[in-house]
Amino acid sequence: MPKQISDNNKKIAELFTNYSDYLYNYAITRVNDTHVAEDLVQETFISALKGYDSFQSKSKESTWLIAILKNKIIDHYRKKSKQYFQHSLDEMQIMDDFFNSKGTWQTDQRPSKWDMDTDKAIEQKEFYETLQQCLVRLNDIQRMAFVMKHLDDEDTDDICKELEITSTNYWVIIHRAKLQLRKCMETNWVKL
Amino acid sequence: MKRGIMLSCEDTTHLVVKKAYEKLSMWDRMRIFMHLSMCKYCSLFEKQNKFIDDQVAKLDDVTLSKLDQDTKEKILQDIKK
Repeated sequence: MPKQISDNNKKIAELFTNYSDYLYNYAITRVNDTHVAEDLVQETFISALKGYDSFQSKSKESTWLIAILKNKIIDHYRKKSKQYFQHSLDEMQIMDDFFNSKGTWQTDQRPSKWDMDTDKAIEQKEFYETLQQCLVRLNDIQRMAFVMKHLDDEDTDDICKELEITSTNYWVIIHRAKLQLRKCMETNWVKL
Repeated sequence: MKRGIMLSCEDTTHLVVKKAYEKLSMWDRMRIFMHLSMCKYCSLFEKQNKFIDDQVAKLDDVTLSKLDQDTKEKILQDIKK
């Protein structure tokens, strides 16, 4: 084996040791399937190995790996069907409603009071576990729109482009995502 | 969305969500304020929504899910092929 290749192999193995859990966790929050997440992590490192010579430490290694993974996640959804995000959006719009025809909270959907005063409570692992589970339960387009905004800190315009949605749809998606996330946290964490 | 000063809960929560990302018009901010001052459910929504936003940003840094060792070794073998 030429020296260059074995050096790269060694380097990728080192990156794998350091970042595979981080990437896996990143993927799982976004794809809702452990096998898909494993495959995406694997593909990320394969691409990383191929592209290692052109990487040249221009950015942080973790940033570079996440950028590769992120593209793979978007591709994963695009591969599912041509207009996958559009289908996901249609599916979202027929789910049951939080408000009645006048736009007032349905009786069983009204927010109840949370005890958020406890700083201790949010240090707990359970809190983040529940949060991750609630994210995973969102439908695909909601989860992606939400995560790209809140975890990846992307511009609304870029998100719309990547997900192939209009900005009006974007706000509907985010609004519904947040209603569901809040409800899910209330049911599964607050009432623990 | 209705034009008048009185917003529904649905429209209020929509604007409350939007407010976290974009600067709203004076008119919208006033309408939200009016509604929130009268509606305890939307006020709770606003507070809890903000709380979740603040926490969710930390999610990628709290590693929760890990690959098990067997999977890791398998992936590592496959990468090198």
